[in-house]
Amino acid sequence: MLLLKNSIIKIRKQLGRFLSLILIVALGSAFFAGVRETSSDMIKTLDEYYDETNLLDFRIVSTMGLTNDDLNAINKLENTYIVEENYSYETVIDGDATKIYGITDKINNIILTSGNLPKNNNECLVMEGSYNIGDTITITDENYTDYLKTNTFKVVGTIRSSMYVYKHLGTSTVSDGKLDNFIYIHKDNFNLEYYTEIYIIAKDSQEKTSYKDDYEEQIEILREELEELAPIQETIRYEQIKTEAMEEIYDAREKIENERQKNEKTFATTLADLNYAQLQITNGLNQIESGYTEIENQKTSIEQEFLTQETTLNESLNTINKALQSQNITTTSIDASISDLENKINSINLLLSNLDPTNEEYIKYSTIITQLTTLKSNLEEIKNGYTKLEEGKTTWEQTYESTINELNTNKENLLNKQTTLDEAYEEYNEKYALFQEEINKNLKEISDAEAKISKLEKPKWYLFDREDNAGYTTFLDSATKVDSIAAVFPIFFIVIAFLMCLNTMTRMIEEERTEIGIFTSLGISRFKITMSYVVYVFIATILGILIGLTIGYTVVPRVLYKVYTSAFIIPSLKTYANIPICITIIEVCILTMTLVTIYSVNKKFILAPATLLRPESPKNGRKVLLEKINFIWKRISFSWKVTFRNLFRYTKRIIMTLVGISGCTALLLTGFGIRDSISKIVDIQFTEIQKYDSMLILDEELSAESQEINTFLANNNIDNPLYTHTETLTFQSDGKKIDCYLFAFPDNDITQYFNLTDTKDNQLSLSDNGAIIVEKMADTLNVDVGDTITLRDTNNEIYVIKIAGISKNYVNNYIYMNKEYYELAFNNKITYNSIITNIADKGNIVMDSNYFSTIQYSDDNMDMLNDIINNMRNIVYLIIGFSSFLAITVLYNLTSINISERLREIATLKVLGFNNKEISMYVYRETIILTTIGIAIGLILGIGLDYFVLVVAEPDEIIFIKEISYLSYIFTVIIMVFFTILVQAITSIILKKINMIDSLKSVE
Amino acid sequence: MAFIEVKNLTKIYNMGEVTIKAIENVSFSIDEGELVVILGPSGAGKTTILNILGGMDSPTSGEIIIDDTDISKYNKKELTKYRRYDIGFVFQFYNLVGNLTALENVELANQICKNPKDSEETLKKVGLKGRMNHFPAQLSGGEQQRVSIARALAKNPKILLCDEPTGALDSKTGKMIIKLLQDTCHETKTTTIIITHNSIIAQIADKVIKVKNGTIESIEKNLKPKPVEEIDW
Repeated sequence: MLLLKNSIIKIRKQLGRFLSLILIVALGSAFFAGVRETSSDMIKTLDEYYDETNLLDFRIVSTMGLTNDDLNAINKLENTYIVEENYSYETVIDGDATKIYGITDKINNIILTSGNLPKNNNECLVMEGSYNIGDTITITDENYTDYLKTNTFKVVGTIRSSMYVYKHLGTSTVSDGKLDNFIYIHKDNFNLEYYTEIYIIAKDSQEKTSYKDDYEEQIEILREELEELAPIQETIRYEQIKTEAMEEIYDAREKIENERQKNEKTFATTLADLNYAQLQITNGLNQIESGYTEIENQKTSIEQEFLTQETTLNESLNTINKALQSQNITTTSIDASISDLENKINSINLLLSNLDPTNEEYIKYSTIITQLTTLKSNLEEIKNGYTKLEEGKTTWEQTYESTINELNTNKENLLNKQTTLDEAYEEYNEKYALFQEEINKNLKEISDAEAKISKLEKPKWYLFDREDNAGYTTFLDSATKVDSIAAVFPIFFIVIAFLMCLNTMTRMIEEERTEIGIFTSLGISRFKITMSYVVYVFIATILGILIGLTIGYTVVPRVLYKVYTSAFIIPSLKTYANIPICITIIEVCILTMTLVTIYSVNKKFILAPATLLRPESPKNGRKVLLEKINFIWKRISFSWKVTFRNLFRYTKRIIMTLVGISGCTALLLTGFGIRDSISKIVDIQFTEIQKYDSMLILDEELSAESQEINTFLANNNIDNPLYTHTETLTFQSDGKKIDCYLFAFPDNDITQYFNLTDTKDNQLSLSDNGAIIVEKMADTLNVDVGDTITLRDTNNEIYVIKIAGISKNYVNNYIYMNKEYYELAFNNKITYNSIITNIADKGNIVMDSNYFSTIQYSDDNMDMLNDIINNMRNIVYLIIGFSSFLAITVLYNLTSINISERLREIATLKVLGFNNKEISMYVYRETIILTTIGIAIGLILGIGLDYFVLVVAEPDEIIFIKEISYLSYIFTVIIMVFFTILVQAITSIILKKINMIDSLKSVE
Repeated sequence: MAFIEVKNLTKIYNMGEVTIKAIENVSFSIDEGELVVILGPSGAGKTTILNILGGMDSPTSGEIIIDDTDISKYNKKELTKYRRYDIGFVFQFYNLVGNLTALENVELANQICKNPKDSEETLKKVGLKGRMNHFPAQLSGGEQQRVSIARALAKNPKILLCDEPTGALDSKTGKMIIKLLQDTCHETKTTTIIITHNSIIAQIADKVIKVKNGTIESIEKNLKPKPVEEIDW
């Protein structure tokens, strides 16, 4: 109880000291715990997020899609935990490259941030911050039906996905190559026969912490299994597709054949009908022709007959006429003759009537009458013959005419029919030709398809893991690279804080020497006395640690998290008190502090209580080394001489002070130095070294040299395109595969877009004898100009490259060469698959053309890298902030100890009539010297620390500028000087308050 | 008019609710070159008088006229100047700067004065010719006090104030210090005020001012001050 009371009194007596002790412990442990903990908290937070949302471990996509068989096969693997199939489709919506996914329920679960899940196929979920609920999204790509059932969606909810934790969503195969947005819809809205991807979570992987090695090891087991499975499933899929295709072809061919046969039959029938009709027409015509002939023949024979009859009649007539003539009857016509005859007969008859029939005359006349009557009847007979003949002629003519007419009509009809038939024939022919063509076309299609199938390549599985997710890896980059910088600092902090505590405690025990003496002489045990200090320290340390850990585990990580995950869409930080580290900190702090106290107190016990009661004999003044150099010493003013003497009186304090000040200076300088190193590299890289604005990556089959590309470039006024062959290669260093990018150019002159200089700023140019590689690569591989390096391409082919130059470069690893050397080294004809240009504006015509698969804008690269670098910069500011705080504390602590140690001396000086300024200066001169030396040492230390931190923190593909700018030195010095002045200003108040009366008291 | 004229000096300390009258209506005068002993038991108020005379504190009321100047209304800056140029102070515990040699301790005070005496000469006068380059820790108590006196004298002060100069010394050494003070007072005609509770020392003074309970008990002129050799305690 007494112990505690004593300790509390001690606290009350010099509250400032107690508080500064707490502050130092708090600062040290806060920074140590906080910075140490942040990245692990971050990783844990993300790990939890990944586990909650069941982020995939692997994603398989295949060039020919995936099937249930694949799904089952993967499911059967020993080390799979969950497998889920999904569809995705990339398209451009409202100018944004958008990836459409099916909503999964087992893996890659989305988190609904507002709204609700889609109820039907016309609803969708969108990325938080892209569209608003209620908006309608329409896919304008005409080919959407190949993938989707509908193309219009109503936004019903916003989501975030652990697949996309970074604001840069990654690459896309559409638009400008940058994915801008993602949408989730119901799986059954996809119109695909196969799955586009399969997600897998490996067994036990969620029990491991993401990003950690044991996670990698865990999924590695499954990776091996999957890699073994891949060729099997690829073959199965290949066979399946091939068989399906062959079957399809067979069916198609059969169908075509059937069709053909059926059609041919129809055509044949038609043709037969046509032919029959033709035959009939021909027959008809023939008949008509024979009709004609017949009638003409008839005509000839009939006319002949008429002629014969007429001739006969005429002959009879002539005979009669001759007889008549003998009768003196000449007539012109038969009728006249008949009437003449009748007259004659009548006249004769008349005569007869008058004559006796026995008269000779009568007989004579009777005979004449008989003659005449015979003549007359003959004539009448002839006349009848004529009449009959005429009648026969007329009848015949009528018959003839009607027959001819009939024939003509029939012929005309038939000819008409013929025309129609000809048309029908034509139509038939056309149709038939068309049919043949169609068949041939179909057959060709089939044979083409057949040829294609025969050439069909095996499908290829692509196995992606989380490392292939830009967000996933960038997050780790942010967390760990910053962490590696920060790792060095907390130790520094702890060391300085520890030294300060040591200093304070030593001083305190020194001051309370008499009290210790009194207690000892009163017979209080050493243990109790020691304990009163230990309790004091214990309280201070515990409070300090409590405050420190509270801040360190809550505020620091939160601030850091907020600051350097601004580019991420992730849940808020979950802070975890890292119990082992807590305990370590508590143990280390308490142990060291207690030991220091026990040591300091026990040093006093060595002395007899009586000695303790007496004031400590002042520490022996000593001449300093400088005094031996007489000619300098003589020239130094008295005040400075005093200062030098004082300085060297307490070596321990000098060392403490120097360590404190130089430590803070070094920390500050390092902070600024890191800022220098990282802040400009991106700008320099993309504006001074690689000066181009964009790189157009051509579609796979195109070459930059092709006519269409040239025309395209010319038509769109794209000036100075630089053709280049780009390729990603890898090289090995310490068993690690590191990526590097190859540029091969047609000419040696690439100065318009690249500024390659060696480390001494000499311009480098391409040559036929080797490649230029970048500094970082040369450093990593430890090679120099003239050496060779081994590179591998994506097919693991090995190439040996000779180094012709090493160029300054900050970001990424590059190899530059010309065409000649490329063709020599790769033994392959160069194909220019990219074009470097100065197109900087996005949404340009190039993007809309179909020639380019991707356009890489330097701006985008810069943005991306700047994000990482900004994170680093933020931690630097934190370091600077903390260092500044530490610097103030250290300076204050040292100065106040310095003053408290010399309270009596200062009081005496006051009595002697030193004014405030002189007294301040009396103290400050030492501080000034120590600060100056401390800063100087600190700057040198800082250079080393900066270099060390940069080397430790330097990523594989980045070179930091290991140069600290003058400004940083100046800033560091200014800050330190400012703090020194600030602290002196505070302490000058203490100095003023020192009571002169104290000088009269006996020494305590 | 006397060199030092103290009139109705009162000093009240306000300690929160309690007020303590350290001295009340103290008046005395000291002539130039006089060796004065202010005598009194502990708590009588002599240190308060010393503090006020020495310019380390200001009185609540009253006047202190030194060489025709009233210092009672001086502000801090003026008091500093007063201490600097007019006062030489000898401490009970010497208050030497530990890491300065004897000579340097004297020089320390010297460098802020207008007409300092030569430091080495002063040290020689106090009998430390051979110890000038020693550090305080290497000197005996008496020697240290001599350095302290030398430091005060070298400033060439108008008044030499000595606070229990023998308090931490054995009697033999104490006597030697008192002798030194007496001698210098007589030789240099420096007004010397010694504050002590030791009545024996009073015998060597030209004037003895006795203080008791914050007031002046008596002021006695010692017409025949004893030489130091004759006193004993």
